[in-house]
Amino acid sequence: MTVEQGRIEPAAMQRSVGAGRIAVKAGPDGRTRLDALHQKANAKIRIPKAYGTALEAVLINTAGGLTGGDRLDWSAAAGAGTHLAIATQACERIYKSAGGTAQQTTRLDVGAGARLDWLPQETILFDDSGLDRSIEIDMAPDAAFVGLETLVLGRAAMGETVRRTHLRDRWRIRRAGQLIHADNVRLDGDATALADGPATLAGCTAIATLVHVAPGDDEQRAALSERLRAALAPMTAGALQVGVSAFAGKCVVRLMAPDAYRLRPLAIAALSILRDGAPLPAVWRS
Amino acid sequence: MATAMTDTTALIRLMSWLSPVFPTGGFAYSAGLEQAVADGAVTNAASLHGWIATTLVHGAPWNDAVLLAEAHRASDNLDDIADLAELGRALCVSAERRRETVDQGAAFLDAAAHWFGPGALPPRETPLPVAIGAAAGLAGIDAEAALAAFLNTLVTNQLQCAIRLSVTGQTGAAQILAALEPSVADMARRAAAATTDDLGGSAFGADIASMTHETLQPRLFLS
Repeated sequence: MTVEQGRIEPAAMQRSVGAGRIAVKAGPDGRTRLDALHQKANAKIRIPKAYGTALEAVLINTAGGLTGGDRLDWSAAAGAGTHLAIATQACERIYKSAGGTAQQTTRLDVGAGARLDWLPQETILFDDSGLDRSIEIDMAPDAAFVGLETLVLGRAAMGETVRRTHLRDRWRIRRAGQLIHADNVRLDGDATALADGPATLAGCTAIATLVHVAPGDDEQRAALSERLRAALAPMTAGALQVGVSAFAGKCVVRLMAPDAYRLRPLAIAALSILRDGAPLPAVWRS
Repeated sequence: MATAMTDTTALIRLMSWLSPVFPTGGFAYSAGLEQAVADGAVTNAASLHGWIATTLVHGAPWNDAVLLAEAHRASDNLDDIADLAELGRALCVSAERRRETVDQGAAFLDAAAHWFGPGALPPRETPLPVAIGAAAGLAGIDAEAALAAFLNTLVTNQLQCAIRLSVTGQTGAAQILAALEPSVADMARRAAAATTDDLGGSAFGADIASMTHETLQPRLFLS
């Protein structure tokens, strides 16, 4: 602690700096096997018993959340012909910041004929939190990717509202080096100004974005979006909102709900269709 | 970049490029507004004002403004323009939004070619804001002036859509246009200093409206 003009200021706080990396390769039997695993500080990766031929990895931030000054870097590489499904053990909590923003980066490489499913649980932004996050995905021309990110503003069950936050969330997907998907979400400052407007949050506090990129033609993608709309439409009532659009080699879904509890069934139904009915990692089902 | 032209010539040029004579077809696209009206989110002049003011600042128009400003800076470098064009296409949240920006970009470039030598302008698949930014930069038109003209045209296009959708009349539309003038000026000023690090929005409701519009029947607009 340093004392300055009679006020006690916290000294530069020791913040967490975690990093985890996993790489998988195809085994002789066609099953996906672990190739490399690196874990630093609070970033841990667990490999539960796999289902089918895919390998499932669970990311754990043992610090229990992120706050200003924290940094967390994940990277994963799915080698040629593999199938890697990645989930997180728990929701990522972004706590009130005493200064600065938390930094999180994710880098995913999806090799020739490989498939990677990015299935983290919700990111919960607390009041006065700050997060700069980016996810970069590099895909081989014939690779497949399904991913989702869910943002929740405050813990509605605890009557918490987020009045101020700083969020920069950046997605970039490249296939064969070409940028095919970009999405920048930005919430700056007064979140209450965005809370009720129909063009912004429309009274919702939970938002999910899902992206599906896979080999296939426009007709197959149109059929996929039809299946999504048919499955999700009966589930939308009241403030629940669903948007689906397939174009330019991808299918994009945005979901909004008043709280995380009501968003989850929509996200699960959408993922089930985008993943051809494959069961979600066990951490999603607990 | 060419030498800066006189203010009067620049004003005439911007008015020409963003005029109804240009085949950009702004009148054919509602940018999700038609869906918002169908959903009952926009029902009268007050809710229309709110929708336009919010989407302008928090939706695709802000990203478009940032791309225009970056294209203006990079106007003499076709490689940088190609990267911005790729980013502009990738940022589109829906099929219709992508068609809107790409088709209007191509139409703009075809018409703007009358002011430039062959090969000076970027290729046809360049999204509208990148195309306008590049053309304005090459012509020596001030970035902030080009941004203001572009953003104000987005607003007038939305108001024309609203009139056709019977949400408001010309008097109500003019009132909103007057009320949004400071917002447009402020955005143009901020965007002129912005870079791709400043991209981003939170118009989730407008995004969903844009995606849902592709299934709306019957409809007057292409987006």
